[in-house]
Amino acid sequence: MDDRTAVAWIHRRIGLGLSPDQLGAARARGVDAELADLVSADPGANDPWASVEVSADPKATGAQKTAVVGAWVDHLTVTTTPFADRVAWLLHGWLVSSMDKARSPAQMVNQIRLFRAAGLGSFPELLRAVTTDPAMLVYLDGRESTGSAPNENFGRELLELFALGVGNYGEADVKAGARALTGWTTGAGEVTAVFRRNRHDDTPQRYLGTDGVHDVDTVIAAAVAHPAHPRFVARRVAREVLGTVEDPVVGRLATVYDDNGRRLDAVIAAAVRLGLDGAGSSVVLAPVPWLAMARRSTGATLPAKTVARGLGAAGQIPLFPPNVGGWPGGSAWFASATVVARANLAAALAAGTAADHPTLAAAGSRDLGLLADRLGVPTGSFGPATTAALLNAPDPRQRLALALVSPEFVIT
Amino acid sequence: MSPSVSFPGRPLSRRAFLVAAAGGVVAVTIIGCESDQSGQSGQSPIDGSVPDSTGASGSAGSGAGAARVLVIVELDGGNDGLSALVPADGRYRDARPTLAVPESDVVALAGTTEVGLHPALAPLVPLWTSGRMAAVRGIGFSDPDRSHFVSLDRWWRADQGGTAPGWLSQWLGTLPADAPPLVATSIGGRAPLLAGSDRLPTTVIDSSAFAFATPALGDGVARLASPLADDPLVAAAQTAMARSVDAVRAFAGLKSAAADQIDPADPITAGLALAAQVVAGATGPTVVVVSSGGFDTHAGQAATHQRLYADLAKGVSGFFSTADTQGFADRVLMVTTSEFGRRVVENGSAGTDHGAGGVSFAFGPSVAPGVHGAIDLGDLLDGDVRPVVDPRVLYTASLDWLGADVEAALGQRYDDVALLRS
Repeated sequence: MDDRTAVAWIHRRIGLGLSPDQLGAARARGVDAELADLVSADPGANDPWASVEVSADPKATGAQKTAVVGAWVDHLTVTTTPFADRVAWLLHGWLVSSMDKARSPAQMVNQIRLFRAAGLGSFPELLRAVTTDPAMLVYLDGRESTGSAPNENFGRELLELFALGVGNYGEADVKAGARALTGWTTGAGEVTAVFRRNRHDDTPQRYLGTDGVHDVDTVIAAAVAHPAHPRFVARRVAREVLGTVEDPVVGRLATVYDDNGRRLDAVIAAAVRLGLDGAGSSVVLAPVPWLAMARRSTGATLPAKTVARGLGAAGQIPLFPPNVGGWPGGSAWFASATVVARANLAAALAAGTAADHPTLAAAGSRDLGLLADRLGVPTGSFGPATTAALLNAPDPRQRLALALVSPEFVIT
Repeated sequence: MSPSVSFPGRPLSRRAFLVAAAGGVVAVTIIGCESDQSGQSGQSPIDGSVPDSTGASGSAGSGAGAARVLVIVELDGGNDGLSALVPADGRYRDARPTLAVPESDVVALAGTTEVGLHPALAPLVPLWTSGRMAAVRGIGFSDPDRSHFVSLDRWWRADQGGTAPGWLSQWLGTLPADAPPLVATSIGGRAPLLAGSDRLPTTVIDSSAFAFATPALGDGVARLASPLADDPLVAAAQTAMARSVDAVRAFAGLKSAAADQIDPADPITAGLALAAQVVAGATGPTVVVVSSGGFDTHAGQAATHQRLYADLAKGVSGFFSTADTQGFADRVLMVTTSEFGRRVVENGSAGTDHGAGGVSFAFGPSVAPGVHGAIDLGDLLDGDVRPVVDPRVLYTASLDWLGADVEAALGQRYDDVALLRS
């Protein structure tokens, strides 16, 4: 792809889109410099919840939860460190907890802060940290697990979804891991975990072929030492960044993982470079990153309630993943509920776009090449159906709304 | 003004999540779906007629030629069969010292002393006593997998491999191209069991929001759908858009007020109320999937079951109450599914871990009533209820009920258990 297209594509795959102004500046810097800048930005103090109340109360009201959800979506739209925030979003759908069970907003926010702060670094260290993360201890029942009667919930998902994948462990490993992980607990709404020795079974276990596993550190060490682990991470990252990939691409990313201190940022950056060279397939944007990109492209804001209700209707409310597997991806986002909800959100954004915004101006000009350019999709990419629908739109705002739900914007 | 959104903070695990809009609108969001059930013909206890066992037209229903309907209620997370259908077995009580349903609370079922219902399921008793309810114990694949996702996938694809289409896709493919858009409707999140066909199911998550902000917006979305692009993914997006516009229009014709008034804390009840509207308006064979989560009860199981089973019982009894009133009950076969049962011995968190054999319920005048499947708590599989009834027994009955080609869909029939009246 040409450099002009590539700059926007990078930000759609591993960032959160760009406004027309940002896009212009990024194109001026060029692909290599832009990618280097993007992946090296430190999230630092750029906290999504700096200006909202984050209740620790497990009985927080719906309004309090809506505010926390809305603040994160707002942040995704304006963040100056979009790579770190996109990775945190990726991790939220991978190392899953949900406010539906970990009911305290503060616990969930604390976990997302962990993903923002540590998500770009060593993945084994992140796995270790999330194992005793308070929201995770609540969500997958670690806090209730004791040596006298271990709870298998976390131990199973650690192996299946977080570190190895199905087929690389047995039921005995699930049971042994659950036993070794006992003892960690947290209180309702607490953002710190505590280790209670009297709840822990320190008996050495045979786990994933390793003897002597007896605590959280040795469990994580054994899991990440399993030969299936690097390819599991590589495949998971590739799915997010590249869509469908061939096995050799997974192998190359697994090598990158091992050769770069097992840092996730290295794998993701390598994946996007492979994508620039043609690896992978088209990717359907999930509702949340799609909304962040659409907002960035239009400069429009929406009330938190509208965001939460619209994303709920679309099937993706941040901090409330449906289950430990996270959200389904790909063409699952073509569900009719999602189609309708995206259209309504797009109409609300178009209605809220400033009259002099360059994207709305492009829509008003009926120059569809210009409109595509400002939306960060390749000029000339609107197909016959989209072209006809946009030219038929009764007014510029409707044209803008339809462009935001067009396959060319939703699929990248 | 947009309604406010509330997040009922309930202790669910894998979950269903509801959005309630002020004004009483309900959004049911759910998550995994699946499963099935079914039944088939038999003598109608209402009019004594014998339905056509292969056919699309049932014995009764609202109007001549009214077609058969399959309603699938997926209980996501792995429902504990031993709590729903409580065995009168001391070994159950020994294994569940804190969680066993007290004997005095177990709801007796006429005709059996082996099992009773969880007290929160008591509203189902009238369906049982009228011969419109069956339970299948020990349901599950004989070589169980304790992963939610592997198990769900096997249920969805009738255990025919990771790339097989959903088990209802073959039937969907036989429907005429101009079949109504609500002919396959998933209330909740997604409907993998309906996947794999060119015909996309209609999915409704928030019933109050399943409409375009303006008619012109819907018209515009419809225009984006045609002509279809060469790129298959783009074409799939376009097909979905066209389908969605049609579905929204069909949905607008339903009497939607009832479901909108239901307490959003009762997602199954809300989903089944909406399902009843879809079924009442159906003019051809129809499948509706209602899925809801929270059944992954690793901890705090007793309180969770109380809430979930009350919702389930209210939803099912309410559905059939509507069906009886509106005269479509005879067209309906309803089945519950869940990806697995739970460990027999409770864990230390007042919960139960992933297990194997579970329980499915089937409802409707066509079901062979009573308890099917015999489990033995003295012969466990790695601590779990040994699966004794293949889930495809449900599919065979369901496909029979719909008049579908069972062998084409499943490769063979599975009728070790006859779930429909013969």
